[in-house]
Amino acid sequence: MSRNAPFKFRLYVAGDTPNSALAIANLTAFCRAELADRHAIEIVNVFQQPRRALADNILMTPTLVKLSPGPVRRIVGTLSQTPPIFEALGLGAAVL
Amino acid sequence: MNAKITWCPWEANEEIAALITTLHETEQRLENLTAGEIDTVADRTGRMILLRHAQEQLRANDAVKQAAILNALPAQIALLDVQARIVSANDAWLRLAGTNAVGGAGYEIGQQCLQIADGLTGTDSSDTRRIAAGIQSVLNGSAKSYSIEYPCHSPTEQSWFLTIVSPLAADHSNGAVVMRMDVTERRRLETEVIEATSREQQRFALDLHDVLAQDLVGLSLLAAAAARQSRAAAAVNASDLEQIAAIAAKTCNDARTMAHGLAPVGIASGNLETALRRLAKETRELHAIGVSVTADGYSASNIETQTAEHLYRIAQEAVWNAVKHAQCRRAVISVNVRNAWVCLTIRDDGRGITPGKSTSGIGVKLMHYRANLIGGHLSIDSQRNGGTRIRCVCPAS
Repeated sequence: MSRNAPFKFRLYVAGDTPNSALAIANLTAFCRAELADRHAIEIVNVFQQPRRALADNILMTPTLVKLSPGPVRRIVGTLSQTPPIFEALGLGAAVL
Repeated sequence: MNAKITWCPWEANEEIAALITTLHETEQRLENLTAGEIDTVADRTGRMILLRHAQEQLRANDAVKQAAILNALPAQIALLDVQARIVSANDAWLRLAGTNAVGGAGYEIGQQCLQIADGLTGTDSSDTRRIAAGIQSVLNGSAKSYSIEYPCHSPTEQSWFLTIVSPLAADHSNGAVVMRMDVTERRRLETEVIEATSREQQRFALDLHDVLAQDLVGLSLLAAAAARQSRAAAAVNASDLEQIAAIAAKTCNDARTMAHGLAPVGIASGNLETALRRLAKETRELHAIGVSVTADGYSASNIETQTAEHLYRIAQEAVWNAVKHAQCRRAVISVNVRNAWVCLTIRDDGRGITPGKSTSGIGVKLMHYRANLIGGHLSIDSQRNGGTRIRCVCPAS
């Protein structure tokens, strides 16, 4: 994986519910610290776009999907446990 | 739709109780499975459930937002149920509860507004009863909304309030919102404007009586004397005719001056710039102060007459303040018109505004009031190199 490859994330949230707000804050902080200028985050509010959540097979919020670089991976929850979570997304080596 | 349940068999009660238990257990199991990290869950058909903690948080967030909005408003606001009981209120209302300013004590959460009105006696009771009747008319749907402006004086202070009652829902079935605003300042300024107009009319009447009327009497006497001489076949004295002409010319001039004072913009020369130049000239002559006028993008047709009148009065007050209070040597009045907006600025080189000193005299308040009347905004500040700058920005029409 290239050191400068752009990272694309999509975060499914439920409005401004507490865990969703926490997930947005955690992801934003992580990307700013570790992936500066190498990331793009799309936020999808399932309250506003329920059909999209259904089409993307999102059964819980918050859910983060790493779209690129491949492989596509997803993780559910507030993203508070940073090292294990980003290791699980396959980001460990990329950000070190 | 509200279905009214009149009969329910024991078996149904049992089943309802069992379902509620299942709901709670399901919710608890979902919370446990997701370790409290999840807000919503959905099945594969997209049916979504918002978990309890998220529901509570959303409710709390909404309540905080609503309270913040209501508390930010410059009014006392209460929400009434269909029985006119106060079910919630903003901080301003709660601070006011128990004081005389709302027309009676006891306007607290849970109180019934209409009963309070029934128990009142005294000078404020008729207004309170009218408000109660207004609230009732909105709650029962006989009125779309209700508003009343009324005095609420204390022994030491005169106050005026405006109360507006609006239904919570279009069909008037969910209660009403009562909003009460202190309009004392606005009432005071309105009174001041009326009194200022009255003073102006009295001055005009005096001018008419003491100047125009006297001159016209003189003219009439001179003309009568000339007529008598003419009838006696004597030659009319040329100096008498010259005197008649001189008095007539003076009278015309006086009439113009009075008209300028009464309606400086509308009557004088039909435009704001001309009126401001006249104001500058008069100030120069009367007070030996250099006053100049600049106009950019201005033409008489692009400012509404009423707007021009108020802008002139603002400039007049500002120049008067500069002369009287700021002890300035020089002042500049500028009018700029851009994209249907007018900017009137009056700068002087006087003492400026003392930091911390209030600029709340009636003249300043009247300038703000006039700016509001024409949909504009007035600002007053000290300039870096000394002096004061007063600026009014408003729509041209």
